[in-house]
Amino acid sequence: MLLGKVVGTVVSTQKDPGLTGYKLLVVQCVDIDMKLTPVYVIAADAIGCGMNEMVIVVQGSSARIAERTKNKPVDAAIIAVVDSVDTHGKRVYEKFQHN
Amino acid sequence: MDLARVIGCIVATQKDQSLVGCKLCVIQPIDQDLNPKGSPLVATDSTAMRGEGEIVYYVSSGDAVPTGPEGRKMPVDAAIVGIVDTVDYKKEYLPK
Repeated sequence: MLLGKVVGTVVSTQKDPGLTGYKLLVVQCVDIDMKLTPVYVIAADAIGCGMNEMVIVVQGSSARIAERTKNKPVDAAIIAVVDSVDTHGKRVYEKFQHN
Repeated sequence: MDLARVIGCIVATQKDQSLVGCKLCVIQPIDQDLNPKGSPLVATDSTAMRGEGEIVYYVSSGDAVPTGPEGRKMPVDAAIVGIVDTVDYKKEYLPK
């Protein structure tokens, strides 16, 4: 799974009928120091998250296992909103400080 | 399956229902000499025993789906499935 920040939304009218009602979000991936990288993913929102939130994106066929995206034509889905990240014993991200 | 080192943990309250009770960690994939390989990623921990710094092995993409408790399906594309005690290999067996 990837860690990333929600940086935008995608609006699309003409689409596969299976995608009706889904919120599509632009997620910019972050590296281990929580710095933004130039990698973007368009992911279907499976939990209800908002702009600037740090999220976990699941890719590939696993994206179709989440409750809200079951059997839908998606290959990237947001499955969790991150509260905090600790690496090497140090807190590198905390949701309520960054917002 | 690949080897990785656990380098951190993630806390997430708002998540897909099937992920409740499941540990999330940050892992750094490593090669056979335990040197870092590629970029770190997020994985669930079906062993629920990992500690930071431990060497583990994980499954990726669709193979990680049935790693929930009692084989339950989870929307994950990387899951730790075991903790490594030792790694042995012969250099001459590696592809050149």
